[in-house]
Amino acid sequence: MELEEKLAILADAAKYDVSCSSSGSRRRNTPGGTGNASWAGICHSWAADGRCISLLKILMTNACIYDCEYCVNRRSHDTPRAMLSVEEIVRVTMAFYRRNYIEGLFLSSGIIRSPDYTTELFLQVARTLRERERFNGYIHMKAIPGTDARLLEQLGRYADRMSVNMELPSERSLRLLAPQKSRQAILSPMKFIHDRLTEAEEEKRARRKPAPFVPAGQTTQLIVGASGESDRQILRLTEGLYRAVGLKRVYYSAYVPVIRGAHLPVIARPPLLRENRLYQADWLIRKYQFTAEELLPETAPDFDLELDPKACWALRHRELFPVEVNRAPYEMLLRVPGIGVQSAIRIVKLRRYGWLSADSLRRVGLVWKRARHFLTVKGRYYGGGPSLRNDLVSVKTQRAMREMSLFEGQV
Amino acid sequence: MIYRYDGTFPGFLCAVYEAYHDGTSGVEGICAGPGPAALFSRETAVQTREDRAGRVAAAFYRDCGRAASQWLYRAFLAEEPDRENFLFTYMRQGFRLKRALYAHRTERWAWTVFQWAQKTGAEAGKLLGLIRFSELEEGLLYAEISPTHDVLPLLTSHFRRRLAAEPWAIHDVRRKRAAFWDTKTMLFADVPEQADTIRWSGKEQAMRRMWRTYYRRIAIADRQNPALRRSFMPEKYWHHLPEMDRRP
Ligand code: SF4
Repeated sequence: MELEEKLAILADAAKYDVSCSSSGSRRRNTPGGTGNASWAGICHSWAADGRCISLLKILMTNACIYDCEYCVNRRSHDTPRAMLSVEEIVRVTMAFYRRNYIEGLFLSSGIIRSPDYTTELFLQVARTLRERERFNGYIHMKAIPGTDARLLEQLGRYADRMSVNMELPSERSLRLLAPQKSRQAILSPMKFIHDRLTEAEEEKRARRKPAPFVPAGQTTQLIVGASGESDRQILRLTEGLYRAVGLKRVYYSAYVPVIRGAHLPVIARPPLLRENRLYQADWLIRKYQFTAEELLPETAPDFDLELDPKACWALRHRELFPVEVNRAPYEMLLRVPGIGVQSAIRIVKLRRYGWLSADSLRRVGLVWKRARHFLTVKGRYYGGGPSLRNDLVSVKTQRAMREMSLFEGQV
Repeated sequence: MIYRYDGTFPGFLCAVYEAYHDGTSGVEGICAGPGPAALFSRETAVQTREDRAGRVAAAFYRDCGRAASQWLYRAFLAEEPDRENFLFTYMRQGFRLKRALYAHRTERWAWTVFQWAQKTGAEAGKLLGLIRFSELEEGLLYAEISPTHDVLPLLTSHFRRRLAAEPWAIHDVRRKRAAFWDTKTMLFADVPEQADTIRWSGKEQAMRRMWRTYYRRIAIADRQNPALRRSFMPEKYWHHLPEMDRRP
């Protein structure tokens, strides 16, 4: 089979993994070597679905010995199979990188023979890139559940990031849809990576230079809509994962109904809006000090698809608003719909020089239409009125809602 | 007095230098290049001298800090009409207000400069990802760009670090300028003629096709969203992207 054809099959098979970020690493170029890692990450292209392409995201093979029901690569699915050799992966990565098509490689795979065997092949790819090709670009490697910790340790020396995909948000759906993987087999590599990263941190604090180990940390992915969990269940799991194993990111992937299975829901279109709300809530947890409990209390376990999670929260807590923009503490400004981290920082900086007026406020980058309902400026309130809810629904959402209600069976 | 300078950033700083030397109250305008003869104003041709430009830049940096200096440079590179007069006001205010310049950023003269700087910065950031090198016969990695703002000077340090060990060139075909890295020094040069001697290496065509195939296959068909793609990757950049080549 031609290399190009293999690439086509294996890109096709890798596309449902959503993580493509290349951030979090400061790997430097070495003399005579190629590449470096940019701390913020760089997007190199955007695919027809609007998603950023940063890494060469590819499977080593799509022939898997497992049979997870939701997965296009499962053993029982009738589909063309291909496998890339270590050399082929290295060659394409280097060629794409030099041309500035990509930031690096994100390698995943169906399971070949055993998790250990597959990981050993990953290790060969990573070692060849780093040692023979002196490649200093970004490498993201999948940690396959059930892999020996010793192998993960070695892989972690070369990789910038590793991820173990959780995929299903509960033990129950895991048993139903991925019977060969146990929750334990998924959690233990996460735990291992976390422990190694914590050790490295301690070494650093003791002013010793720790052995390199996944400097950009670990991430995971959850499929949304293939099983019956509520948004609240998913978000609480996310929060737990951030706390317990220090994940850098949790990615959400709206279930795309491409294959059939006895336990899979029948839906016409992937629940994209729900996925989007999860990303927003996740962001609020990581950057705005919200908790899952605040965003989705027991009384409202699912997102309002019309309003974003922050606006929802603010509407449930009308008693806290309006706040005076010239006096409210930074933490409270962050909770105002329409004010983001950037604009909150600017407000705090600018008001040191004197009271802000409504006019100058519009130029700090906040969304006035939304924020005005929750603020006073020099004691004056500009909000209220019947347009409140309408102002909070973003134009984009309104459009998306209209489009989707035409197609979507279940959201 | 109208100050005519050569259109470069150092040239502009020299115009500011001379304006301060002559007294800023007499300034009627700073303009790039030759223009229609002014009927009622006196004109002077500004000499571009690196030492003077350096002194003005250092003074502004010392008084107003790093961020304000960066805005100044990036706003200049945005190449907006009438940039000289906005930037001159901005610098005069900066020398007067010093660090307190920040407090005035919501006023129109500062806001405009800031907006321009942001546009340039955003385009430079986007191009770090969207630049596409092609391998030429002699092994050189060569990229063509035609950005809206003059971002070439902002791009080179990134690729110097990234592709330090091999020679490369980035050619702004719109402004007819190129940056060339020979693995030791960075060279900027005017390239008046489009080189028609450019020949790709034997592997180039196949690699482009491979990338195009990858690009098409990595998209999820059920999630097609051309508007979203266009918002991240505006059509004006497609011309230089092998993945947007419509060929099968
Ligand atoms: S182990 Fe991974 S690749 Fe294999 S069937 Fe399960 S999800 Fe798919």
